[in-house]
Amino acid sequence: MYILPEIFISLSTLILLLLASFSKKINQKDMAYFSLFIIFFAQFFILKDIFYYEEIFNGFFIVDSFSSFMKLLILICAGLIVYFYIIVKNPVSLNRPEFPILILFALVGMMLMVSANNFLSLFMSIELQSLTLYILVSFSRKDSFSSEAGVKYFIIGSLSTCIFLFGTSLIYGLVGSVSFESISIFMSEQLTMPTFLIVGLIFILVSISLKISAAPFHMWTPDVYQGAPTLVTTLLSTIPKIAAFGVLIRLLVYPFSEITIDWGKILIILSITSMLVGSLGALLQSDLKRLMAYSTINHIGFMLMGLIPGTEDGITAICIYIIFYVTMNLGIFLFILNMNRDQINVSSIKDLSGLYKSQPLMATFMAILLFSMAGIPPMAGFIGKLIILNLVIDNNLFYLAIIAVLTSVIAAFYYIRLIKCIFFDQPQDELDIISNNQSKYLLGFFATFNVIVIFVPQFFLDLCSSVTLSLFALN
Amino acid sequence: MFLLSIFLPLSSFLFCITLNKRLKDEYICISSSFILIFSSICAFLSFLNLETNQDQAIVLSNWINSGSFSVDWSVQYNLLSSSMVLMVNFVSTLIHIYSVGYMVKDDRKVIFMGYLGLFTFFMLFLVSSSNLLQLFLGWEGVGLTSYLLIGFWYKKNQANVAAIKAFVVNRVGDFGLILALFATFIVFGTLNINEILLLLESQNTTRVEFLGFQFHSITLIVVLIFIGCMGKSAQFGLHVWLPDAMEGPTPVSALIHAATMVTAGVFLLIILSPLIEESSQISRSIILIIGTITCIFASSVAIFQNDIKRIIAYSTCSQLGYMFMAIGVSAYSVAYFHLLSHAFFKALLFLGAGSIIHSMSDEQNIKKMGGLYNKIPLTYITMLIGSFSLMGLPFLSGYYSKDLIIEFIYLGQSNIKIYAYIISIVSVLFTTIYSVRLLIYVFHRENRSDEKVFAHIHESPLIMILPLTILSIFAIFFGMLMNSYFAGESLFKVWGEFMFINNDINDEYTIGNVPILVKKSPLFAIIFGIFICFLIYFTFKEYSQALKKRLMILVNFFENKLYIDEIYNFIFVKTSFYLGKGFWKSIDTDLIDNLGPNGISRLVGSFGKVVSRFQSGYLYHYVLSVVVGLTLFLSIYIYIL
Repeated sequence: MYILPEIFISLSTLILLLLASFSKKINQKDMAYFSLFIIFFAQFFILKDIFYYEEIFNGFFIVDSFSSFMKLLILICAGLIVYFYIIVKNPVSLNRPEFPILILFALVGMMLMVSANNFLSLFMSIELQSLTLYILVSFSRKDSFSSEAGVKYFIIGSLSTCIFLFGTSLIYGLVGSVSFESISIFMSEQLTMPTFLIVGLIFILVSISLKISAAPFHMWTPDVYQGAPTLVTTLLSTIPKIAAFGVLIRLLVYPFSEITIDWGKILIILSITSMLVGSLGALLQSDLKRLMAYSTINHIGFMLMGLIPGTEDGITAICIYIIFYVTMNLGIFLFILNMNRDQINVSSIKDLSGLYKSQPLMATFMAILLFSMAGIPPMAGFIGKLIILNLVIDNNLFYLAIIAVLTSVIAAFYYIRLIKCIFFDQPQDELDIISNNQSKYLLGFFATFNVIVIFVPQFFLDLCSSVTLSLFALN
Repeated sequence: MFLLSIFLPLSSFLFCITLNKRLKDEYICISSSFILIFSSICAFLSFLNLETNQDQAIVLSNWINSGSFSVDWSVQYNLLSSSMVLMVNFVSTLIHIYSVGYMVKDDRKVIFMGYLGLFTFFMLFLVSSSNLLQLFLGWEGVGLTSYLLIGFWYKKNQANVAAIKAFVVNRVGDFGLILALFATFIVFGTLNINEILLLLESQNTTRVEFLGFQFHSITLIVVLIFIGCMGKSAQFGLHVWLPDAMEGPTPVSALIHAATMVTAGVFLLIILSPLIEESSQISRSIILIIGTITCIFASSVAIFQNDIKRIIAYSTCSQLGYMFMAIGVSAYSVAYFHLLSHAFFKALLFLGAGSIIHSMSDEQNIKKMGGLYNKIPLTYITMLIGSFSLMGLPFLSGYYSKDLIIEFIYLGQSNIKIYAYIISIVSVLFTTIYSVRLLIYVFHRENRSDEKVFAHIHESPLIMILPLTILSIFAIFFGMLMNSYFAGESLFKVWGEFMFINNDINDEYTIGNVPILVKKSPLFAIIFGIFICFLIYFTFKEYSQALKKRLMILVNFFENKLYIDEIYNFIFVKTSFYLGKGFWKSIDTDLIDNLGPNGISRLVGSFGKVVSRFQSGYLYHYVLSVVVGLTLFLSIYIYIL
């Protein structure tokens, strides 16, 4: 049973939900520990079958090493976020037992997303994921920002769903089926591609772009990132992106592989605008969470570049980039989660000033992560960027490489501005010193990871290229 | 053992730098001296253990491996490198010990000792290298440490200027050497010295294109290497940095600018002697001519200098000229002999000068000294030995080595040898005059310093006198004991494996085919020189003053070092400053900065504002952007793609 991890998680989540509603003794901490436990076990189910390949439920879902790898990545991230929930001092509004349970539901949605092999199942899993995320974003009900973010996210999400369904219906109208396999067969039989097939694909691409917040469909991102509780922002910036990328990769490489050139052009526009918006938009931001939103957009643009040639190398590069991006992002968000002044959470850039004087070690970790974000050698971010740029140049897309490098330079500016702030600015009111040791160790771990990757890049290359193989085995 | 003798000075450097300020300064200085003593012992033992004709490359690890280009970290262990390592270690040890006394009042003395150790390491690295790239690393390393040490008293503006000058002038030479390395790799396909020498036969007719002309490859390489050597060994044209380098502390002058670093050029040519022999006559003539010009120029200028260290610096320059002359007539062993003996007596002279300066409360002008012979007798004796050895008075080191050079020039096969010979004799005369002048001014005339300084004159401490004494012993006996190894019957047996030996000249020398007049001519020159000095400074004092007034133009000409500094200043320094200023003002700040960094950052900033303005916060704006984006993509696809 290759769908076991999803079944396991959903069943145990339901049990947890029952426990939460009937038992008054169990508080949110216990719930979080239970969830951690569930996530931990689910990883074993996946690891057990990581190299298997099977279509299940009449081809509704597919289990291959790529989906398993993505699921594993999602689970690890989710586990870390739940762990953050445990170790960090949360605002009161998050202290409800439903919070970890909702994360688990989203998790199931996302795991199904990367496994989906049919537009219908894909739609269902995206909706499961989105609905839970809407609730999570507006979890601090009494906070007007959080509610506003929730509403915005919900409406944009619904729009995305509409567009997705419209695109699917167009494709269904042409192909007569919503399964990826029949679309693939249909396309290989055509001599000239029907225009409406590609129009349908564009609709679906736009819908997924909304999920991964690629420009020009990014507008909701800064507002939602800023408004949502920081922990939810951490979640938003990592797991749904991985899942959506998984969907995007599978969709483009498997059923639509015949028209690589067509969607490649659209991806070029998407990636260029994303990189530009991501780097330019962040320049004037004063809030760290908002800044991280633009930073995400910029990174997404970078990752999209890897998909343009639609080759195995490209997917490998994206997988590596995702791993590095997630570690950097989690590290920085862990720090933002721990940014308190007088017990109140703050997230302005000015609050960072003079951090080096009060907490030199944390400042150094932060600097490493930010350097990595900016893609400065020898950090992990540099390797990710290098691999993708290499790929782009190999495919003779020189102008794209030049734009990517230029936007990275602009992006480097605002990362390094943060470092300047940390190391050289005069401190105003000092931040509270991070008191919980787990956070310190974890931050140290993320920073060290970003530094040591340079010594073992081959390991990541081998790992990612071995999982991407399964995607191409089908064609 | 051999490796230990090379790497111990590096450990001394690390020791000094890491423990600076953590231990008492005196302890660090003394222990760094002990490290050097130990290193010298290692060098001595490895020298003794050397078997006849042993030539072994100790490979430490691979350094660069790229295509057909492969370079190792390796050390050549043979008679040539080992003797050089021994000499460098030995002189460096003495100077370390001397510095403990000399720098006692300086509060950065630990750093100073560290730099000395680093320099010694680079020098050893240079002389023991078995490939040209590693040698180049050492070459640059000594250049760097030389820069650091000349500018050691960085609060003195002149020291900084001199340090920069030394570095820049050396860069000119280094550029030649780099080009030589490129050419060597193109021609031979390797930078390993032994491999190059093996491939010589097969490559001696190849031609390479350089600057659009076809050249005989080996001649080109030799000339380029020689340009590098000119820079490092301060030959005429690129000599300008050496006198100015005397702004550094005196031990530095003794170690770097007399005994070791400046002889690196000579040493490089000696290792590559078979290469030079394969090149055409032109290259050797160039070396001979440059050597001769340097020799006569430096010794004549030295007569008119007043700064004690500058006199000795010019003297170094002219002695290096002798060495290059010897190389120019293919007498490599003799050049090497003079290199070693010069190291001893020149280090001695510098340290003696340091001792004088120390006792005169940092006065360097010899016109303000005088009558010191009974005040600082030990220094006086050592200076006397050093000067006599430099002049080449019989049975001192300089006598053997310099006379050998002169005889070999006479016997040499060059067609301009007779001019070189005459000039070398004239140089001996000049050398005598400036040495005697120095001795007279410093020790024998009535004192001209002010009362306070005079009252304060004292003999230097034992720790400074001890190295002087040891060096004096070497300055006296080294030539006497060693001269038979560097010329004559046993020459080929000893050095045949490691450098080119011109048997024709050596055989003629061995049979004694030198006219007695030639053999004795340096001695006559010395006696004549001493005679002139006595005439000028004692017998006809008044006349000489009048004469000096008459010949003011000539005197000025020499006092200003032939105006070479001024010419360089006018041609190179002023123009490059002018150009630099022009480029900076009009092109860099006005054009590039405005259009480039500043302009672009302004542009980026305004774009940032535009992007942020889109972020209005209104949901319907966002939805609009999604719809517009979607429509845009669809229309792009349908109408354009």
